[in-house]
Order: sequence, then C-alpha cells, then structure tokens
Amino acid sequence: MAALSLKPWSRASNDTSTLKDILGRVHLERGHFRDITEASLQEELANDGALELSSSSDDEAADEDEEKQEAGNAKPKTREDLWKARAEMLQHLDAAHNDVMIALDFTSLLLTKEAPKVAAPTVSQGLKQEVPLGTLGTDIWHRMPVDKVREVQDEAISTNVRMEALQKSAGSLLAAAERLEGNVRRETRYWGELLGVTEKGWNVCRLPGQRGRLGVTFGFGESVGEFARRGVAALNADAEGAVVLERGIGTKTRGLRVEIRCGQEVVGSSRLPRLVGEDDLTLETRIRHARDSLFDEELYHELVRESRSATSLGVSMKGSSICFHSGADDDGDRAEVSFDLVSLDDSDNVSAKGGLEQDSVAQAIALASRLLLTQAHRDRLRKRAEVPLPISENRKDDQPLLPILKPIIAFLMHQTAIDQCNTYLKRLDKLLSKANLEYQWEKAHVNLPALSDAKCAEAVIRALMQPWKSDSLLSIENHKIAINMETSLAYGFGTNWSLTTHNGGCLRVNDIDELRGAVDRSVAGAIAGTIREKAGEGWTSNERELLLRRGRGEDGKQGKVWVSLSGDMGLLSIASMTKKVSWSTEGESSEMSLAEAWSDIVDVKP
Amino acid sequence: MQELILYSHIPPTRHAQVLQILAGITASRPTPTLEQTLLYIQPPATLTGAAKKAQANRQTQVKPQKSTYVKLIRDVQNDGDKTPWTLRTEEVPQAGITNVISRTITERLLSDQDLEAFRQTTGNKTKYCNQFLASPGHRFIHNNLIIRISRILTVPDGTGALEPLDAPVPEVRECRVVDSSGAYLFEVTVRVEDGANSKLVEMGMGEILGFRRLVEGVVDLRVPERLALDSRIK
Repeated sequence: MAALSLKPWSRASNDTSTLKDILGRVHLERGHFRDITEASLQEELANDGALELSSSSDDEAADEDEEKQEAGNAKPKTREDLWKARAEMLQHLDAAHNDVMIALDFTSLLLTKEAPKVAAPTVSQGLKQEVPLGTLGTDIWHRMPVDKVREVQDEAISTNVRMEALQKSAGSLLAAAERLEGNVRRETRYWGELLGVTEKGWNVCRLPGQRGRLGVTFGFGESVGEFARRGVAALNADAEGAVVLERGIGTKTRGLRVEIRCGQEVVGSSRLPRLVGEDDLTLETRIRHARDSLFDEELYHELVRESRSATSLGVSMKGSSICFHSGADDDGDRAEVSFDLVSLDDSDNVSAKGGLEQDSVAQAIALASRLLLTQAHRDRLRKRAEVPLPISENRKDDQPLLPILKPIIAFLMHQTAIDQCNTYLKRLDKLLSKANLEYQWEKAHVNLPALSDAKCAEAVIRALMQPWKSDSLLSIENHKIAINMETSLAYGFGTNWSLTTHNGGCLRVNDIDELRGAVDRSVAGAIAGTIREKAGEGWTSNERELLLRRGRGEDGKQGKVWVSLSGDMGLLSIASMTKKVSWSTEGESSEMSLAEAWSDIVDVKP
Repeated sequence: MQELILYSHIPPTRHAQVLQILAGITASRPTPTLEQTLLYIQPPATLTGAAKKAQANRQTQVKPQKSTYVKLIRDVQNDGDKTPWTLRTEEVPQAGITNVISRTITERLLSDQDLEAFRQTTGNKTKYCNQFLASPGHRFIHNNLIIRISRILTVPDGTGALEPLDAPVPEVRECRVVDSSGAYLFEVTVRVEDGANSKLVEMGMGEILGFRRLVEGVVDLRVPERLALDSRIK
C-alpha cells in the first residue's frame, strides 16, 4: 500500500537551532547524556539500517503470506500502528497489574485472619470497604484417597436422578400427546357432526355477539320480533365432542290443533305430530322439532292478533283457544271450530284420537292455515322489496295483520251458504213433488278452481283466496229461477246472494231468511205462471200478490185464485175465495195433482 | 320532499361480490332495473303581472332565476314502453350539511293528462336536452333506504331526434358506457316527507349514516362535491 503524501516544498531550513535546544531535545528523547557515546550512536545507526532492511524483507514475506496476518505480528509501519501497539501493550500491562494487585489483596485478606494487625494495613482501601476483615479463612486439606465405593454410589445417584428427570419429562410429553389426541378427536367429531347438520340442509352461522360459537338457524326469513330471535340456537360441544343444542331448544315443543265441536262433543280433530321417543332423538330431529314448534307458535300468535279484529265475523277467544262458528243458525247444532296451541309433551294430547268423522275437515283447516302463513311470509318479502314511501309523521309502523283466518272463514261461510241453499231447495223439492209438478233442480256445489295450470305453491294459495261463487238452478216447466252466491274476502265480507227470478228480475238479498222469502215468492210466481199457461184465456197473473184472476167472462164468472208457498212450513196451496187445496210436507196433504186441483177450484162457482 | 344521498364507486371486478353482500344485509334478492332518464331544460317560471308589481313596490332585488334541468325517469325492465314516466325536479344540495348530500326534490308519477300537459310545454319552452340509460341496474331496499347500483350508458347519436317520449327504448347493445373502466355507480338514498321536520330528518340521517358504518369495509360511501350536483343551467 503505497501511501502518497504531499509535502510542501522544502524551504531552506532555518533549522539554526541553538545547541541548547538540541541538547534539550536529545535529553527528552534519549534520557541522560551519560548514556550516549559515539559508539552507541554508531551502533544505533547500524541497527536502524538492519531494522530497515529487515522490515523491507519482512514486507516481502508478508506479501507472500496471506494478508490475514495479525497486524500485531508485523512490525508497526505507520505511526498509528505504533500508537495502537503501544496502547495494547499498556492495556496488557494494566490488566496484569490489576491481577497482581487483586492477588495481593487476596493474600492480605487471608492473612488478616491469621495476623490481623500485621496484615490489616496491606489491604487496599477498596477491599476494606467491601469486605470486612478476617472473613476469609483457610483450611488445609489433605488429599483424599480415592474412594471407589463412594464414587460408584455417586455415579449411581447421578444416573438415577438423571433417569428420573428424563422419565418425568417423557411422562409429561406423553400426557400432552394424549390430551392433544383427545382434543383432535373431539374436534373431529364436532366438525363431523356439524357437517352432517349442514348437509341435511340446515344453515349454520356465526352467533351475533358470541365470538367463536356457531349456531344453527331454523327460523323463517320473514318472521318478526320474538320469533326471529328464537330462530337461532347455539351448537355447543359436550365432553365427547358431540354437538349439543343449547338448553331449552327442542324441548317443550308445541303444536297447533284444530278441533271441531258439535255442542260439547268433539267431532273432529287435526293430527298432531308425534314426538319421537327420547332415545331416538338425534340432533337433526331436535332441530326439526324446534322449527315445527316455532312455526306453530308463530301461527298461533298471528291467529290471535287477527282474531282481535275479526270479532264481527264471530271469532272469539275462549280461554286460550280461538273459536268461531261455522254452520247455519237454525240447524240447531252449530259446529264450532277452535284453534289451540297444545304442548306435545302431554301424553293425552298426543294419543291418537283419530277416527272421528270430521277429522279430515279439521286436518284440512290446520293445513290450510299453515299454508296461508307461508304465503303471508312470501307477501311480506315482496312488500319489503318495493320502493318505500318517504319517511313521514303518520306512518304506521305496526305489522299489518296477516290474512290467515279470513280465507278459512270465507270458505266455511261459502260452504254453509251452499248447504243452507240446498237444504231449503230440498224441502221445496219434496213439496213440489207432492204436487206433481214438473220441475228440474240443480244443486249448488263448490266450484273448485282449476288447478291444472298452477305451477307453484303460490298459485295454489292464490286460488284459495279468490272469491267463491256457486249457483243453483230451479226450473219449473219453462220458468227458471237461479240462485247465485258469492263469498269474498274483500268488500262486504260475507256471502252475497242474488236471485234471478223467472221473469228476469234480479234481486240481491243479504241473508238466508230474506232469500227464503224471495225464493218462496219467486217459486209461487213461477207456479202461478205455469197455471196461467195451462188455464187458458182470460186469466192474468198478478205477480206481486201471487194472484190469478179472470175478468168477467162470458159465463159471468169472475175468479180470483191465490197461490201461496211457504218453504219453512212446507206448505203449498192454491185457494179461491171459497175453496182451497193445499199440499204439505208434514201433516195433511191433498192427493190431487196441481192440474186436478186447478180444475177443481175453477169449476166451483165463485 | 327532502332526499339524503351518499355515493360510491364499485370497480367491475367487485360487482358480483358487492351484490352478494348487499343481498345478505337486506335478506332479499336484488331487483333488476333498466332505467331510462330523459333530461329537459325548463326555463324559469315567469312572474305574473301582480307579483311583479308587488316586488317593484317592495324594491327587493329579484334574483334572476336560472333554467333548470328536469328529469323524466322510467324503469323499462318489466313493462317496456308501457311504463309510465315519473317527473323529477331537483334543487341544489343544501349548503350546511357535509356528511350527506341533502337536497329538496319533487317526484311525480305522470298520468296520461299530465303527460299531455308536459308535451304541450315541450312544444313551447321546455326543451329536450339528452337522455341516458342505467343498465345493468340493481336495486335493494333496506328499511327506508333505497340502494341502487348501476352503470350509466350514453345513447347513440341521433336518438331523441324524434319525440323522445314516444320513441322505443334504445338498445342496450348500441349504447356506450360513460365510464370506460366499466365501474358501477353506487347510490344510497333515503327520502323524508317534510324537510323542515327535524325529527324525521334526524331519523333519516341516522339510517343512512348507520348504513354507511355497516358497509364500511365493503363500500366506501362518500359525499361528492356539492355544487357538482347543481341542477341549474349556467
């Protein structure tokens, strides 16, 4: 490494230092003058040259060697190296000095025990402060003979101790492994069962508010309030890793039961789901029970809410069951339908009471109400997806009532109306047959909607909610009377009757009694019409009074004949001022036919 | 009524994911929409003679009213050309409110007579300006919030030359996207019947800000520059 150094131009050295200065310098460098002789100086010169020579040869050697040689080994070349070497040397010296002083202190301290007064002053100040004097003692030990037995014992002890320690650690590792294996087994079982639950179709989700716990949702998307909250249950792991529903879910299941009563007696009851025995209760069945129970409870809740506003339709609450009557007033025994939420744990509820005659009707009502609830959920979802009105003051935030009772009641009302109409017409039928009239009668029946093109459940339920229409035809010879009934859920909740009379007039009536009266008059009018047709000339019929009259004819006879019909009492009669022929369903009845009766009456002179 | 609005931007790669997340939040499926919007320039309402006199008496300064844009909107997804139009006028968003855009709007479904009346004014003063489509569009409803995600398309040149109210809906195929990156516009709105009723406005604000907190990681709802939504014509 060639170091380039730039020196300033050397000027004429005014190195005219006085002898005094030179002497001073020499003294500083070499020490006293006494030691310096010419011979020593010559020797020094020769040594310097040798040194220089040797340093240059050393350099070459160093160049041939690896450059990793310690800097301390090579002769110091630069002034820095010199100073470094000097510092290192001083360091070593200091350390050595320190060690020696410590050894001295040590021996002094030892000696303070033996000879305190003598040794005390030799102890250094620092040690005196740290350690009290006379505290270090010595003992002379003789070299102990090698004791083989003890050595063997020591070996044995040390080996045993080591083995014990190793065994302990091995034991704890094994225990950890076992615990880990147990954990793994539990976790595998837990996740295996959880996957089984998901595969069956249940939705597993995180629980809100509880981190690290999973739950299963078995509720319904459009339930609100309490039922939405209860639709989630946590899935916990028990000691074996099996999945367990949280406490209280799947127990105390309830179901909705529809009962039809006639008087005090139960004539029909819907089926309650049978609970599987406790042993067979798998996780999946428990979730299913919980879902069914939640659905029925929500259904009951909605029914109660609806019944509060449907009192005008005859719906009332008896105790905890919702009841309404379906049946004609005058039939004597009104059938009463009641909805009840019963607990399935009660054995006498579940015991099969099957075989009652109106079981199928009750079962149908229960099924219809469940279907209507799902339809109501669908409607709620659809309404939720419509653009909402702007927020305003008088917005009603309550949940609208779900129409579940109303369609059922509508249908039952319609059926009642049909039954009433048919019974009445049957009575008329008997009456007319006694009078030997020619007539035809078509019964009214329920027009079931065409379901062949109903593609989904929604279409079926919509068909259930349409207004019900039926009609019945009664035709006497050529006069036709049509009774038309329509039951709808909308305006004018109830059955609307309309009667088309034989002369084309259309009459709207409100209930069955009015209808009976109207039918009576209409049929009587029809009968009068037939009589008039057969009677020949001269006779005219007066519709309003059901009167047939003849003006004064050539034989000077004037005739008035009344026709009267009462279906309630089962009485048909034609009468003139003096004579009367009547037929009746109960009691006495004439044997003549209508035609004979007519000629009989007419022949009698007024 | 008063409308409170927040906007955001969805890159096309995340469109499906955002739709799914919103479906989970609202527990309902997105409703597909195809909105056609026509823009008309409506001149300012001129003052009648009496009002002018009263103002002259009072010596108040009459601010020169500017023409405004007026929109006619309809959703042609289901019924096509038969869907009735809705007339919408918007005002400048309110100045003091910085965390949402709050503006007064009027929206009215036009019946046939109203549409006729509008056509009359079109002949005289209201001028057709432009139209655009928003497709593909999806709509979610969450309590009182209306959430719309759509992509704005401009119609090809030449549409609207004839009477745009009666013309058939422009084909989506022929329209160009306004934002060439294909990003979607995300809009959340809540409407309050009466802007002066502070209780209702508080309710609306609470709902929309709560929704912003709810979707914080998914969608970044922002308030754009208020004056960029100015409906006046300079």
